[in-house]
Amino acid sequence: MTAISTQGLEKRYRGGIHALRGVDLQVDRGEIFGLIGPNGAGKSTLVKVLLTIVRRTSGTASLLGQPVGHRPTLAKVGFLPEHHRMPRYLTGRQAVLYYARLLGMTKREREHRADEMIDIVGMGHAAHRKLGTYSKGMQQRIGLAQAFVNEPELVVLDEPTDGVDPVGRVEIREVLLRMRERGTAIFLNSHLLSELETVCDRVAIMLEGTVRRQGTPAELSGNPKWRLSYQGDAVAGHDSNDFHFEGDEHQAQRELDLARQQGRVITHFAQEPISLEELFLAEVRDQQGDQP
Amino acid sequence: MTLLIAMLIDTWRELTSRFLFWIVLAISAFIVLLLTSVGFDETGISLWWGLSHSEHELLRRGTRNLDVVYRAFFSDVLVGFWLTYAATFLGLISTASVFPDFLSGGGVDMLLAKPRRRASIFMAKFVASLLFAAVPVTLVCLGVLLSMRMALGVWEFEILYALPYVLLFYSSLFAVCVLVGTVTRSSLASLLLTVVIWGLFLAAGAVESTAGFAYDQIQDDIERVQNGDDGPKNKRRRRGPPRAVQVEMEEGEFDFEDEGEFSQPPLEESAFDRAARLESLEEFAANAALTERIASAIRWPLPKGVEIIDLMRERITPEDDPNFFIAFGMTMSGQPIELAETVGSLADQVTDNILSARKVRRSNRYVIGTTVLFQAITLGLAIGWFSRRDY
Repeated sequence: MTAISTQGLEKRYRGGIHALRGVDLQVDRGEIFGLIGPNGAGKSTLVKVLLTIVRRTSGTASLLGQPVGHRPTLAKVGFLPEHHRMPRYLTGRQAVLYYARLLGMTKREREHRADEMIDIVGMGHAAHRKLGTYSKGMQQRIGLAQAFVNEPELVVLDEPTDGVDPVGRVEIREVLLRMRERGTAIFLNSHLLSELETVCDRVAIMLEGTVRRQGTPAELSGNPKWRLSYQGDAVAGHDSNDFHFEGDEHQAQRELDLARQQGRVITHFAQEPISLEELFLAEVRDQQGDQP
Repeated sequence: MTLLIAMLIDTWRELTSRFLFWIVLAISAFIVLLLTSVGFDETGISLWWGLSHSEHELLRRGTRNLDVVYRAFFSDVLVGFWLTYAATFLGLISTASVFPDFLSGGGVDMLLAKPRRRASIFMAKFVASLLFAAVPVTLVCLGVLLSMRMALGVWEFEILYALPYVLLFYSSLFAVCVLVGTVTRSSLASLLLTVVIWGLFLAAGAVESTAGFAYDQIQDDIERVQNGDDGPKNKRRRRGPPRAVQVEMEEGEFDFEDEGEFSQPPLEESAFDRAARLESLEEFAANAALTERIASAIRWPLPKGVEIIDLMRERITPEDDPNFFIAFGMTMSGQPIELAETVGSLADQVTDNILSARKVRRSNRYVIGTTVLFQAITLGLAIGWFSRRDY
């Protein structure tokens, strides 16, 4: 069953801005899905449409198999918006408990889960301090705690590491991976491509209100990239004894055999990781090239 | 209910984080504390919890004066002025930003993504925000209830009627504040527009009652002209002291103020002059009646703030009782309030003259009904706007 599914989703704001132009997307349960795109691509609008904060103009969308807006389903969804503003007069723990209460959790559930999540995000030491005294990173962690407080089946996070220092990012990434292990689907909306690359099972590239490509990073790159190194001079057909090439597994095997047949000792042979940044920039350039 | 409780707790925390809320609460508590510091026994009054004592004929336990002064102080000063106007204004200043903040980006997103109806979220927030008014009013009511028990030895539970009336008054203004705040998302705009609209409500009420008062006066004048009873001497009689006193003056003493009447007897008006005067008065009366009708029609859908406070006062203090300032003045000058009919009517005359306006009599159902209807429409518009908007 899918966690998120959209078909031909459109949103046109009153001012005439066409934020979504027929978005088709599918996110499976238990996966971390990353949505990338430049500013103004429609990422936040898509998130808001999925969570009924913004009303769609046309198209269909479903969360956890139910149409968007189905209230019992929203109780199984966690959400952390971009630039969230939790009440500054609440302590970290009070904020998590407040949102848990709005989700209809019982007192015992919410107190148990709030304390658990506060510990998981590493905020136990400051749980009784007012949010107004928190740094941006601390607020993001409490935001994550409230997003996961109801043991959601799906969590939507809009720029969750915005303003967080590198150590905090690593810790947040670890939280996300732990939650995935529990079977939670995570929809991640971020500018930080390197971060998405490390945690996402699948990604989608969104440009000007449409999803241009979606899939695993490998699928998106087409032919994988390889690196081969060996001792000795370069054999005929190779430019160097340490080089990169693109091709499928058969092509890689052929290059490897060629070096071995010439008695070369292989020192390195591996599929090179595909940079999401490269993919994204290539897509943006393509799109700019398409424009008149 | 869970949503309402969550909002109540959240709003309570929000209010307690606001400085003005504590100011209002502190002033209310101070007033109640002052009230409890005053005690009465069979001989007189004691101040500062018994540190100072003085004997007084009327300000002592068991007298009607004391009961009237106490009730009138509560309804006219504590509720009628402090809670209704001063605390309401401070309350609006403090809560004007509640809805604009609530609707700010990043804040409202997290609420709208929860499995709750938008209308329910909105109403829960509105009801919870009334805590700002409810807490000081409850504090004052309970404090006065307690101090009356201590001072007079009685439980005056009518005092508690102030709570729903003041809340109704405050909520009708707050509904306007919320509507403006929802549409503009600006604290300043919602506060300023609410105060302006509040002023317009009061102005419309003043126009209606003044036009009504003018109409009544002109009708009296018309009646006098028609009866040929409109000379200066007769006019003086109507506005002078009670008839018994007047008779005594006419029989036994020379009235210096009336000297002119003896030296210059009133001139007889011709029938033509009288008809012209009558026509002029009737025209004026028609204009006053028309103005009153127009003002009344304009006010029909508006909240009846002044009338609500009058209703509250009627619940707490009997109709014949004078207001606080008159009752206190009478008591200090040694005049008992046992003569309720005479003194009460005198006091009413004085009050009416001070206000120079006629109280427009409305039924409780009309006053409360139209005010609640206004609130319902205002909140309906605000909820409609909130529910249809993208955030």
